Amino acid sequence: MEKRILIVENDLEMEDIFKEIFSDNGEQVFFYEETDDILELVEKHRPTIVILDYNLNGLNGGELCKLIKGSEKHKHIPVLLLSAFPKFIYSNENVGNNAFLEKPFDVDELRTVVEHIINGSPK
Amino acid sequence: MDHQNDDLFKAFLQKTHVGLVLKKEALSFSIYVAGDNYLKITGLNREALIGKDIFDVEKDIFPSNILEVLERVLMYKSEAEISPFLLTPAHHSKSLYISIHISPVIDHDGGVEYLLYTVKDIDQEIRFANDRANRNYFMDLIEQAPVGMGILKGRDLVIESANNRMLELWGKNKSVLNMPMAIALPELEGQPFLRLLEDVYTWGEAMVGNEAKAFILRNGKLETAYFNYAYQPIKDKKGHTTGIMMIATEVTPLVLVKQKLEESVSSFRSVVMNAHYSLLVLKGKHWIAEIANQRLLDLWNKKKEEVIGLPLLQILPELVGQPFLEYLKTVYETGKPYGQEEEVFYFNTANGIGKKYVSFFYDPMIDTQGRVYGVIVGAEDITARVESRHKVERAEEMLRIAIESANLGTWHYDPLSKRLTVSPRLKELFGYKSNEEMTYDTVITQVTEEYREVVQKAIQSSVIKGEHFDLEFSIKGHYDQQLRWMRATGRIYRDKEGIPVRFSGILLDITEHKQDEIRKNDFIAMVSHELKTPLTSLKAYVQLLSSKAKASGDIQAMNSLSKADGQVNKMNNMIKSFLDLSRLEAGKINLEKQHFGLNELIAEVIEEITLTDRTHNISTGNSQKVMVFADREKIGQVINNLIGNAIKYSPQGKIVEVLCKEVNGETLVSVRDEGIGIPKDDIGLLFDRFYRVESRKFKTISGFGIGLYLSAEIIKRHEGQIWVESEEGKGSTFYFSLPHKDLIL
Repeated sequence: MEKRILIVENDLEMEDIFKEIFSDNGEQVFFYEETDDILELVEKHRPTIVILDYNLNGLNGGELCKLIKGSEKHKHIPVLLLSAFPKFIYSNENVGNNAFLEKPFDVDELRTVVEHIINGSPK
Repeated sequence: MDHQNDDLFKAFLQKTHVGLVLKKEALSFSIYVAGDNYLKITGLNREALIGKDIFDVEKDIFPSNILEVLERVLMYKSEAEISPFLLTPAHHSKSLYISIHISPVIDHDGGVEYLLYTVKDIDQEIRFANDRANRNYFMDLIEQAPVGMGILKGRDLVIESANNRMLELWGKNKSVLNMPMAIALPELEGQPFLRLLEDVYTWGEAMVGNEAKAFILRNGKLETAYFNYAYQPIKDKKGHTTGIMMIATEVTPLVLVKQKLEESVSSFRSVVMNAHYSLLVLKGKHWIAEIANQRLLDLWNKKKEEVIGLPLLQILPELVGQPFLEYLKTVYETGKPYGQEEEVFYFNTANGIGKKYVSFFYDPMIDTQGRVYGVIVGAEDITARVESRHKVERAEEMLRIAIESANLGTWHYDPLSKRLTVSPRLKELFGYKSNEEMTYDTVITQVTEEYREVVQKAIQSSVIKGEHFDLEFSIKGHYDQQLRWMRATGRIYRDKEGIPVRFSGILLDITEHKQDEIRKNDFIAMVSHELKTPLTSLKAYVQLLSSKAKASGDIQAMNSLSKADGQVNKMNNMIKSFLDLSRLEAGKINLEKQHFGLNELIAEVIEEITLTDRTHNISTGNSQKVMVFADREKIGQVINNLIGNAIKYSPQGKIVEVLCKEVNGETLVSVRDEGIGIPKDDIGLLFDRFYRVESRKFKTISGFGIGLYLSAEIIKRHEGQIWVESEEGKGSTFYFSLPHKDLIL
């Protein structure tokens, strides 16, 4: 099944990288630097998984995650949060993300985590 | 009568004791015969008398009323007597008493022509009677005299007389009269008095005694008495001693008073000499030092001979201009004692002027007339006490200045009364007005929620365990609700029984410092985030390239890329530890505890390290399987850090041994290397932030000096301990322990 991956990440450098990581298996990557309306993007791209960087201009990754998980229609879509800050910094806040990965990440680990949460077993 | 017979008769009368024969004449009487005896008594010549009228002879040889008496004898023919009559004889200057007897000579007609006028010398008799009267009077005097008087007669010293007072002194009664002294007062045997009396008697010399001690039996009791006495010999006309006159007064009470006085003077002296403070007795207007004890000599630094008997100002001329003289003068003038707790006393020494602090008193000595005749000076050298007090005062003053200039608040808390006392500055820090009361409870509620429990716990453990209290926390101002950061330090003070009596310390406003730190931490967080961003893409590129090289079988590229990945990890770890540090210091590290196998974690860390370092042999020896409840990631960080250090600091050594076991329920992890070791002086500082051992050997070794600090902080937050044993040149072993599992909840 073709995976559709929606990514919001303010480091433009990462667009090519994500595309290369996920190109092998024919996944489709939709990359945005920032967004004010994540639900619109979700509606538009119907992603299999959403990968959000935490530090974004405008709404941050956590807030975007909360919006997705707050929507009855889209809350089933798994969300992976990424951040250069370690996870414990956000540990007081439950935004409903399915997984968290600290930057810099291991490419293989990223693939594994994505695979895992798509299959419904969060790491 | 014929002439012959008449002559015979006259001659006879002349020889008899009859004084005169008077013959009746017409108007008077004439002297017919004058007896030898009469002439002898009166000293008159017969020629001056015979045939003379009684009024024609020398005056005063007849009583003035003689004619009257003679006429009466004539008329009544009866005898008459005149006695006594004081006759002043012609040849004597001295009068004498005589008795005169007149009898009529009745002739055969029954008429009277002649009268017999006989005289008798009764001078001795009369005078003796007078003497007796005088003597009785004298004896009365003696009897009533307030001094003891007595007369002893003869060599046997027979008590001829003794007045009442004397008998009283002797404790005897009149029964002793006419008894020899030795029998009357048998107790005198063995005492010197009898012997003295004998000497007086023998030598005829008077003797006096003063305050002579005697033992006298009075009322059946032998008493000690003191007498002043005089023994005066009584001598006859020839100068022979016939007796002794004794005069004595008892002076026992006086002597006793004197003795008591002497005793009290001597006990006073001994009190002075042995007193625990300096004592001096000054006498007279020149303030002569009469008594001075050793302590006084020590105080003055003088020898005894430089003091005793000398006027004060000669002993210590340096007193001029010092206040002591004025005080002393006032005491002399007013008779009122004076004392002072503390006064400076300057004194001359060989090296200049010395200074001592003394406490002293002046007590006037007042005579019976109320005049001051001396002063007792008491003094104590309190120099050491005063100086140590000054030291304390200076220290307190400096502390006060320090507290004020550092704008510190101070607080005291009494655990018993639960009363909190704070300085005005502290009230200001907590946002109170200076006249408002602060209580422990309100203070606690002002501590922000995130620190409240920490503060309460710290106070409790300080009170219970006596631990030093040192805490940073934030508070909200009482009125302004403004957030302020405080650092409070303090400790508990206990009494002798170990009961906490006071919990006190200081409070420092560290808001500014804290804000700086927050800014710094925010900056570090931002920087580390920014550094990680390129690192993220770098790492991803390296890994993507690596998998491509793997696919194309380019082993060389694979190796290089694997090393590049390792370097990226290393850099990432450094950035991470910075970030951790700043989070840690902001108090924002939260432990995420879980149960896990420590051995597995150790194995994982070793595996990871082995990826980049293959030069060392990292073994886990005889490790036990240990389950812990801790923050897995952070404990992993600690183990990683310790093994990393072991490798870093043992360039030659190959062996690193990581052991993990349970000791007394505690988990103990050790990391041993055979590296260069740690100099002794550095061991204690090793876990301080940014501390790096300064040595040429270490210069080439990279690092920030935060690894061990971070490790220590993490272990501390797990309530565990971290330490090191090391010997320079032989290697080090780092240990950390995690508390008993039962205590971890």
